[in-house]
Amino acid sequence: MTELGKIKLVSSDSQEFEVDREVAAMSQTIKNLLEAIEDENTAIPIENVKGEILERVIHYCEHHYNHPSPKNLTENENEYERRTDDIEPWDQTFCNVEQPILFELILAANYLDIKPLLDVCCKTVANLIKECRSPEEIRKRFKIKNDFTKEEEEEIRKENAWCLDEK
Amino acid sequence: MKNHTKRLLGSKKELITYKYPPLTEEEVEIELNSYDYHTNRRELMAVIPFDIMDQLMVGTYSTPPKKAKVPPNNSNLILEMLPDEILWYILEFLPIQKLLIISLTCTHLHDLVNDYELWKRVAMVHESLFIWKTLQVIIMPQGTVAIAGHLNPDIVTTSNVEEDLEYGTNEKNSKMKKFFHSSSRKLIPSNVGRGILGRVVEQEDPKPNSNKQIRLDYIPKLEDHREILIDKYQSLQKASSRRSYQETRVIENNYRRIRSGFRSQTQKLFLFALTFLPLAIFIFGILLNLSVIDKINGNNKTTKISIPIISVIGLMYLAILFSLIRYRSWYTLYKGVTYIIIISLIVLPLLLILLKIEHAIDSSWSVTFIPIFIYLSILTILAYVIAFMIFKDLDSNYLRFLCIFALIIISMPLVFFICLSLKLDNVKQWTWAQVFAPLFISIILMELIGMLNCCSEIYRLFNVRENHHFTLTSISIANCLLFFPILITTILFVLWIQTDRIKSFTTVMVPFYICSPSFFIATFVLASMFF
Repeated sequence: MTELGKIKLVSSDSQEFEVDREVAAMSQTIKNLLEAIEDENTAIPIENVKGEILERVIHYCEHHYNHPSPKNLTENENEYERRTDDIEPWDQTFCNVEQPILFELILAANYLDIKPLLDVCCKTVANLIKECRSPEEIRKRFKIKNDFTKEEEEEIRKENAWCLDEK
Repeated sequence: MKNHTKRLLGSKKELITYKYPPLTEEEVEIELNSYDYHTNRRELMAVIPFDIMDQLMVGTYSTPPKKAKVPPNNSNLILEMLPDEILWYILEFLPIQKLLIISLTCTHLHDLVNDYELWKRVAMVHESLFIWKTLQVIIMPQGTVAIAGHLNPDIVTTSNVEEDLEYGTNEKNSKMKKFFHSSSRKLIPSNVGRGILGRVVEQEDPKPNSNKQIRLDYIPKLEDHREILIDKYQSLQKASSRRSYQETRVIENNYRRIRSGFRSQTQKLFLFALTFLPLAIFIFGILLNLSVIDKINGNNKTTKISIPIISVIGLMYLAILFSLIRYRSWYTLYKGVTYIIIISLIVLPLLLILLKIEHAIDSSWSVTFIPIFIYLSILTILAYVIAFMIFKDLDSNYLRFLCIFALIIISMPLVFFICLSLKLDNVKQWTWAQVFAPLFISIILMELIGMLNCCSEIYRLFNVRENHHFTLTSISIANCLLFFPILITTILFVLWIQTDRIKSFTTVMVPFYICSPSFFIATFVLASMFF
């Protein structure tokens, strides 16, 4: 039996979390689900998200439910480059995790349809990429395997030579 | 990696058994063990329908929840394994330069970055930015245009605006591009021609170790980015299927060479001439002052006064002519003629006014001002057209507000000159303050915009970690500071001409004397870094 106004979420590894209905409704997916089901006491299985990640997501939602951020932050899309420097300090520490966890968070945010979380995580990744100055650095940082043939690489390198020359 | 492969394989195992029905346990095991995520991804993509592939990427998407044996914090998801949509989303946050760098890391990301849709989106955003910047430059007074032009002469020409408007609409543009491509092909058939042009391009390429250059020609750089971006965009557009790679490359390179050929030489000469423009204006100011307080005697005052400016303009003409002779292509002709027309439209009114003051011509003032009317109305109409086209795309209220501001500013000089000609021809008996009112409004609004712009640039300089350049900030500060002396000079001028408060014309020119030297010194410093 759950408390009034609370719902139960079950992660893929069967961990259970009790969350405020309103907090959980920050996820569009859960919100739609809640509208569809009638029985309030059913535990909602979140099959794609592991317990550890779900816990973080809930933590994020709770924080932002209690500290709503000003709306205009994500609106300014007409900038010639989407900004990546407008991450709030709390979110910055939230995203300061190991890469696999960050990616899991992105997947979870995508699946649960929590736009602000998705934005913040993607911006963090974009910032990580921005700090790299060469393809090698990016490969090293993101553990990407170079699967170009030698000729291909040569050609692409030539094609994009101008962008590598800059600082 | 290992753990994740396991997790992925959990679902893959099912897929394989599902996909190829008669497989024994052992065969499945062998299949799974030989599976290498990176190299097999594409093959896998070919076999497995897309949606299932995506599910595979997400991990346990389609499988029933299992009692996890993998410890929770031990997943090894890497960037590449994210679904394409999400990678795209991340890529959209990156500047073009980083996009190209990331495309060099591996085939998957390369394909992703080279996706047509992404470039289209990037190009669209850049388009609106560029048109906006052009609009901003157009509204600046001549002095500022000269400074902006100093860093990128291309930005001042109206032809560019038209060109850029067309980038949005594809068909016209591709026609134009085809035209340039074909002309450039004809122009460089032999190795000799290629060698010459190639060298020019090489000279122009900034070396990574010369910091000066990189910082200084930021705006031309932006232009280059755009060019390459648009080249890329178009080549992708041209061939949605696999294109003849080599051919496209050759065409693009030739096109780029033609453009940079025009740039490198003309730009250098043009910049050389422009360097002296502030100095010429300074000398012009002194001479004007002397002639007003009757220190220069003789009949040919105007000739003397306009010598410095005329000579600088002459240099500019020379630069254009030189490029016309050196690079005989339609593109150069088209650019060169536009330059000539624009410069003439600026010089002609000046000469006419000076001649009128000298009583060398007898026409009325309104006739004398005709070139100015033409010039200003072209600018005004152009600005309205651009504003009309971009207004619906302006997302934020700040930009809309700026746009309306800009329109007010740009219509004011025309109003001013109409008032001035009416006043001078004695059609209307307005006071001088009334005549100058539109100009005051315009300058004050410009000052406001300049300050806003300046603040935002400074804010960015300190808050955006990269992709922001000192040059842009300094230009905006210069723009901002430029309007104060202009405003003060105009006010003093009105006071001098209308009332008796100010006796001497020299007083009027004081702000000019204070600011002008710093301008030409700044230009010389910039120029010495460039050449």
